[in-house]
Amino acid sequence: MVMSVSSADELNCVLCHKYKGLSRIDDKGDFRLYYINEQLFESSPHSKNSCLDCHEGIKEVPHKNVKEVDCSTECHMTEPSSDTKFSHDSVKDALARSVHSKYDENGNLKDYPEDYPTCKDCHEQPVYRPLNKDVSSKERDIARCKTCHSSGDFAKDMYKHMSTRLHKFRSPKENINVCAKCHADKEFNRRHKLDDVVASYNETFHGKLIQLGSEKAPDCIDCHVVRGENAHLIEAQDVETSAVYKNNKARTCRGSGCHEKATDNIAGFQTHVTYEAEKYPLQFYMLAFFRIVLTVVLYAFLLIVFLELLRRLFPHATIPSVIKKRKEK
Amino acid sequence: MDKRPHILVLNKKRYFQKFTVHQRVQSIIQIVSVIVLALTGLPLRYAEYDWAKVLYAFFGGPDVTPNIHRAAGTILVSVFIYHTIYWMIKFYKNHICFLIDMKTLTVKNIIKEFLSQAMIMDKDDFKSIADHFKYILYISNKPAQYGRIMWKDKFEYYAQYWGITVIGLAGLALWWRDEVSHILPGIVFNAAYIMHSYEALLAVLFLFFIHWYHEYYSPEKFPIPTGFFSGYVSESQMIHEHYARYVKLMTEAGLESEIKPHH
Repeated sequence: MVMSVSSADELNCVLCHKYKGLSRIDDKGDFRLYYINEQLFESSPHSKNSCLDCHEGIKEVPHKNVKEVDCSTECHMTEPSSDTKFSHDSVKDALARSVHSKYDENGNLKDYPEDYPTCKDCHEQPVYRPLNKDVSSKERDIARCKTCHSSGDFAKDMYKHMSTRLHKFRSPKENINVCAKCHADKEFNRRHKLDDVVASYNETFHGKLIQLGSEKAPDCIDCHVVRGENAHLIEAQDVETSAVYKNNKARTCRGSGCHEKATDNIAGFQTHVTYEAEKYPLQFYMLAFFRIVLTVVLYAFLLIVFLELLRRLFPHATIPSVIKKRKEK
Repeated sequence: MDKRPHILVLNKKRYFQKFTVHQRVQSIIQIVSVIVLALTGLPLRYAEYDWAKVLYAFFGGPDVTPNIHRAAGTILVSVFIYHTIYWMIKFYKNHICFLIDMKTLTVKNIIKEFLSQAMIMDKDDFKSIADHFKYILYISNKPAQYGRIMWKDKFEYYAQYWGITVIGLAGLALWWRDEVSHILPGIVFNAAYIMHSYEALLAVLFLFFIHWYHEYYSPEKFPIPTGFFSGYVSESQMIHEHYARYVKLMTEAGLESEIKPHH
């Protein structure tokens, strides 16, 4: 059997980890699967990393003293623009400053700290859209890069990387699903006193267009991250630098070519409407009005239609004539 | 303008004129645009269902379908405005000018002339509503007799004025949201959203269950009525729905002896 992961798998980890049943129950009683799907790994962003880059501390078989994967570790890869070791440390920093940090601004643990996400809570699925692998039709374009970057597959790999990153790595639908894992959870929302923002988002035109397959309509990140900022820096709406802070909202709506011509008034649109009478009186009463009109008009006319059809079956059965006939008998 | 006869005899059957060419053209444009609006709008309301995704993709998906919806909406509203302006000009020529000529142009007289218009509910309509309810509630054995336009037609006509105004204005605000934000606060879009969505649902349900029952499903007309297309309706439909006008047209044509009883 030929090992397809061989480029990164110098230590031949796949020799064992290719078996689908490779698993055990760990000390905490959790089921752990150690199987590696080579095809998935090949098309993942980490396909050029060696296993030990992330899984530090493995020295023997069976593995002992294995450290938990820490995404902010410096990889054994060099970041080509700065010649420093590659690391996701900046993401960790952005996350720490975001509403999703389990520490508050004074450094104290928030309530229910276990609810706050770490890297793998949002990034657990390895491949949302496979890496742009089919570059055969782009050989001519890549040849231009190769004029200077001639050694090995660098030009080709860079091209794949760039062309994949030109669109969202996950579809908007999947982005929403990631947020929905927590934010659509009733118990979670009750614990943190939040509304079901996913349900209310799905009610908006933005949400509906995405459900119907749009790639252009905004998902959660498009509105909740300041344009040009790190996507992990999502801030609460009462933080002054937040994309959804009351003074910044209109700028967010105008961003990325969406509502370019809109004035600040557009910020008055309420996105996450729950139709509760106290919080959203206008929407609550309008909804009630239209529901009542709809019900009354429809049922009134349906009743008339029903009575008309019934009457066709008994064309001569008026009540006075029935009474008259009884009397005659 | 339509010089065709009120009673048309084809294959020894009588057909009675209900609409002129001008009215039929308006009505067919309306029918087509409303159906397109419903088919391109409902999937948005019910986006979470699989059928909605299929239907939306059929019309071209999120990049194309909204434009079809807007085009159909523009056509519907244009016909609606044309219809209103046409009526206004006619009303001015036939009634206001008459009042000016007679030197009796007062607000009271204008209202009086307005109330005498064909589409306005009059005494006869209230009487026929009462007759109709007496009939369907088994109080009387005599069905209500209607002229050319019955009270249900008039109700639907008013419903169009209410519906197209509400849905049209809301739709316009949602379409030109960036421009509307220059003159109105953002909460308008929340209101427009509810107005458009719920009033359109009412319109679609009403059309499907009530209007189509009156015009398509009812025994005299099933499966498809001829009125909106050829302008003429069959004798049995005429007798059932417009008996008063039936008697009037037959009498005018000198066919009193052939008038059939109301059924």
